[in-house]
Amino acid sequence: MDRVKVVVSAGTEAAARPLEDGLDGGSNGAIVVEGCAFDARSTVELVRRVRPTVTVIDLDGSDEPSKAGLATIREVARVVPPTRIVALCHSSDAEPSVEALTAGAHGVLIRPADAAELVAPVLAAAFGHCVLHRPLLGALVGSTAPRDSNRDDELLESLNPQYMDLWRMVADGLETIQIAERLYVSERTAKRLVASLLRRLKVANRIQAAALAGQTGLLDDVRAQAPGG
Amino acid sequence: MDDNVLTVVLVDDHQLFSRGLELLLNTDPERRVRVLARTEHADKALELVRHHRPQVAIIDLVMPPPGGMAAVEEIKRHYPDVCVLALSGNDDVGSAVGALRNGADGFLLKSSEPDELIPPLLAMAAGVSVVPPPVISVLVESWSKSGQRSVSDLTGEELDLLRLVAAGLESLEIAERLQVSERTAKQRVAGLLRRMGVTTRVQAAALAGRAGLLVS
Repeated sequence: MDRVKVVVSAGTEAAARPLEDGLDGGSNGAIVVEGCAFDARSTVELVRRVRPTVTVIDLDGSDEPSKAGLATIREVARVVPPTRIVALCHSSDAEPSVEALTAGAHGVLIRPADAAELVAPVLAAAFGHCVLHRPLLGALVGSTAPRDSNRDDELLESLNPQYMDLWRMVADGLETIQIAERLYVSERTAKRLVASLLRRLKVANRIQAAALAGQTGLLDDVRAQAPGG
Repeated sequence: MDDNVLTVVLVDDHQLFSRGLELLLNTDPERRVRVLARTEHADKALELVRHHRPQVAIIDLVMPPPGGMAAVEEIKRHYPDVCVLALSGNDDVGSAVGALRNGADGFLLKSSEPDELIPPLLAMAAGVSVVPPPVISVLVESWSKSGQRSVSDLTGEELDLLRLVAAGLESLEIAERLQVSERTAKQRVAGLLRRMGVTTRVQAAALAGRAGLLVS
C-alpha cells in the first residue's frame, strides 16, 4: 500500500510538531507527513502543492473551535476539495464539533495526549470514512430519537387545525396582539382563544404550551415544511 | 505483544463473506487483529460475545430473524463496553441510523475494500466511531433541526434551570427554588437564554421540549 500523505495545520509550531511526530513516527511507515502550516493561507498553499490525502487541522485556542481553525477548514474544503479534513477538538462538547463538520470537516476527533493514537483514525479517513469521537456520534444520533408518547399523539389528534395553528403561534413566542392580527380577530378574542387552547392542552401558561409543542414534535413539522414555503 | 492484538467476533449469515473476512483479518502481516469466533445466526450473537469477550463485534444487519439489528441492540444492552461495528450490503442510510440508534459504535458498507477494514476497526476500539459520509450528512441535518443543538452543551445546573423555566415558573419562584435573590435568578435565566441562542423564555421552553428534556 502507498504511504498516505498528510498535512498538519495548527495555530503554533509547538502544537503541530507532536502531531507530525506521532503520525509519521507512530504509523510504521503507513503515513508520511509532508509538512506543517500555521494559518489558513499557508495551509491552503501547502495542501494545494502537496495534494495530501488527509489534512489534519487542530482547532486549538481558548475560543474552541477557534475562528482561525474553522476558517482554515472552510478554505481547504473550498479550494482543495479532494483532501479529507480531520479536525482536532480539545473537548467532547458537541456544538464546536458540529461546527467543524458543517464547515467541511470529514472527521472530528478529540486531540489525544499521544498523537500516535491518531494513526488508525487518519488512515480510516484516508479510505473515505468519516471518523467522529464517540460522544459526538452519541449526541448526533440522540437528535434522531423518535418521540414516543401516546398521550402526545392523542393530544395532536384531538385539536382541530385552527387550534394547531394557534398553538404554533404561541410556541413561536407571538404576543396576543400579533396573534390577533394573524387571525383577523380582536385582541380580546385572541386572548380568549389562547386561554381556551391552554385549557385544552391542560397547561397553565404559554411557556408550558411552548414546551409541550416542542415535546410533541409540533415544531419539527414547521421546520420540515419551511423550505417548501 | 498479545495485548496489542485486537480481538473480534463475526456475526454474518453469508459464510463466504464471513470466512473471507476471517481469513483476511487473521493474515494481516502486522498481526493487529485476531478473529476469535464466527456465527451465522443472529440469535447466537450474544452467546458468542459472552463466551469470547471480544473488543469488537462485527455484525451484518441483513440476516434472517431475529436479524442483525436485534443482535446489535442486545449486545450493547448487555455488554456496553464491547464495540459493535454494523455492516450492510446496501447503502440504506435509514438502517445505518437505526443501527447507531440501537447502540452500534460504527457502520461500514460491505463494499469497503477488505484491506481497508483494519484501521477503522482499530480506530473504533480506541473510541472513535467510523461512519460513511452520507450518514453523517443526515445526522448533522437532524441535529441542526432538533432542539438538541441548543441544549447539548449546557451544564447540569443549566439544564436544571432550563427545566424550571420550561415548567413556566416566574422569576420569583425560580429564585425561591434556587435559594437566591430574584435579581440573581433573572440574571441566570438571561445567561441561560444567551447560551442557548434564544431571546425569550417561550423559545427556550420550546427547545427544551424538543430536546426531550421534559420527558421524565
